[in-house]
Amino acid sequence: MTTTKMTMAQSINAALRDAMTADESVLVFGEDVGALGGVFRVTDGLTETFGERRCFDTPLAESGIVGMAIGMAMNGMRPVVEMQFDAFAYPAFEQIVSHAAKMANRTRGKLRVPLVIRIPYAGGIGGVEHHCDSSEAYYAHTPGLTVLAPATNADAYGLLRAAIESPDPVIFLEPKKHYFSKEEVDLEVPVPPIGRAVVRRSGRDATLIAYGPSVPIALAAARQGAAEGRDIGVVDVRSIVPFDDETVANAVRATGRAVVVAEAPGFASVASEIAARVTERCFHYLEAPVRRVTGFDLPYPPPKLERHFLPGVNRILDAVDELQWEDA
Amino acid sequence: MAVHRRLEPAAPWVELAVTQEDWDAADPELLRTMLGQLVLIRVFEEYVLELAAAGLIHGPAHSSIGQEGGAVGSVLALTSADQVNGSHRGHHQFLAKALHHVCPKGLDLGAGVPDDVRELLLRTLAEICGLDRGFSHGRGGSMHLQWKDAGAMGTNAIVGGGVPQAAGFAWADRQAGTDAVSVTYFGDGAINIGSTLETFNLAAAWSLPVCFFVENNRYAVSTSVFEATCEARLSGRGPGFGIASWKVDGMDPLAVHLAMQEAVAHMRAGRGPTLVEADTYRIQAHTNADDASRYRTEDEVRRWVPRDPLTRLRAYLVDQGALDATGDAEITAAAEEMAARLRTDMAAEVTVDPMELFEHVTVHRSGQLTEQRELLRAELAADEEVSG
Repeated sequence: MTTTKMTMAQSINAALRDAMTADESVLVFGEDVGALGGVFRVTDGLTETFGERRCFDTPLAESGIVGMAIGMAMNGMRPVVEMQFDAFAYPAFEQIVSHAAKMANRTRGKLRVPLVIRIPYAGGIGGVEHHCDSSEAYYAHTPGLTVLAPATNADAYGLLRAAIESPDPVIFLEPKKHYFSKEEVDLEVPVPPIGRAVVRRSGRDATLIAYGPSVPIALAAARQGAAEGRDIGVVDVRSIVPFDDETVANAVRATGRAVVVAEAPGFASVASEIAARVTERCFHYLEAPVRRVTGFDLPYPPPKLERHFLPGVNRILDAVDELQWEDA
Repeated sequence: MAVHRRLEPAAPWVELAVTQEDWDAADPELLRTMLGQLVLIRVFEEYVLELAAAGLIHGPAHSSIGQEGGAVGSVLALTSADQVNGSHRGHHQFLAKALHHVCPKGLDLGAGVPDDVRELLLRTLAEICGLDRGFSHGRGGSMHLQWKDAGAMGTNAIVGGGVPQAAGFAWADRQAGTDAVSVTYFGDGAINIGSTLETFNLAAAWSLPVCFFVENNRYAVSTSVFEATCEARLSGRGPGFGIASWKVDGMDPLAVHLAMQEAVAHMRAGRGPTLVEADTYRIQAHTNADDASRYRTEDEVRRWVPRDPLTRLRAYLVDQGALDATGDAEITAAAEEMAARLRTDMAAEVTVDPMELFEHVTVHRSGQLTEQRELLRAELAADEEVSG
């Protein structure tokens, strides 16, 4: 095993590069992804290496960009488009939901859309409204879309390779606050399957369920919990759709207590869906109702106030404390 | 005092009108094919209206009667390698493209209706009725007709929804190094939608071989084009984006054909996208559920009826001696016989297995979908037990 220390942006860049090398039909385009390398430099150097026919800038036209990508994908190309920020993808919503998601179903598999839409998402960077949305629920609610949210640099690499190989559309949510975090990554490992969660930390007392940018927060809470005498496990969902009920339910059954952690506002959210699924599958194992620690049901707050909005270690541990402990 | 210099857009904007000379110069076989396509599509559309009135079409049926000339005239300037997509009112767009694919050398109804044409019409009608023999096993329905082999990439229920996809087809063709072009058919409603205007810009900026074919039928449901926009000559939008644009009488299949030939030559030569505005008219109401008398007068409809493309082409051919009473009767008989057979063949249709619902959503099947599929399977088995 050879690992390299790299940032998440570099891991995603490596995934794009390797996919473009492996398959000529893979194309990368979006706003400012060419000479600039994207506003987060994720596509750095791709135009230089692969030329302007394989990685290119587009005008500001999200609906047009995604719609064109669908047309290319219907003809056997594998476009990977970048939406510059989470909320910038909303103008493309109609193309994503009404066309990309439904084409294979509508045509009984005769026209498929192997399209990846990369979206830098969620907050924690001191950004502003429209630049910090956790928009996963919009996509997860739409049959036909696969929704991935890696938390580690290795998964960012592996899951993006898997997304590009998928014959059907994938929404790829990149936790932008981790773009510049460095981790050891092994680029030689096989492409991971879509639809598998992973236990990041096992624990006997309670289980935290998280994805994307909330995984490191959940792990920090587990470490803090250990210092306070509670053995807390963490499951990284990775694949929001399809959701890995088995891994999550097994982890919860082992502890009988669960907290779902996610940045998005909690009402009608993916966190709510997870809580409901866990309850349905683990009811007789549960010692307490499943709790959710989510962002408040507010538009994303201004930078100076975002720490009050985002789920943090204390709020997570407070929720764990409320799980009807016998010794409480 | 300020000096005003008149500026001209870089891209041309022209109106093309045919003359008697154009008619006389037209290939008689081309005109026979136009007639054959127009007759078949008309008979087909009349049958669709009949089925809709009988409640056999689920969801709206948007009739193309009166607008067939634009689709037929334009498609005959293409090959099967050229891909098209279309609008919610798209039976004629789909059928014209598919008929041209099945009969690339021409369609003369005087010789009867070929078997593969019958098969095409049956499968199209089955799709419209939501039945299994359709091109998408009935799932696409009236507003999502596709047959990739024919270069018919799908009509589309979302107004303006298919327009950017056609630019994607053109991009893929150019990347593959072919001289194929794509055509996206849409109406006066779609031209005000963002995705359409975004695509005008993308296609022009990247010089993509895509034709924006606007069927200006004057109504977006009940809203008149004159209310919806200040410049109702919709081809006027093209030059602002640097797109060469034509305006043409869409009720005249030959005029449309000549304009389309020019547009296709422009695109195949690598000179970028084109826009063709076909002035046309929706003779029927918006759908079978519409009441057109609320927003347009009988007089207005009466004024357009004589311009019907089928009537005009037939009259021309008779006038020229290219079609005599016997020939005309043969064509009518062939179309009527085809429609009668279609009625019989449709009756033999089988229904779709409900379990099929769960196929093709995505290859990444979720746990809930597996559970829901089993739920339905159990329900169907229980129903079977009760009824059996």
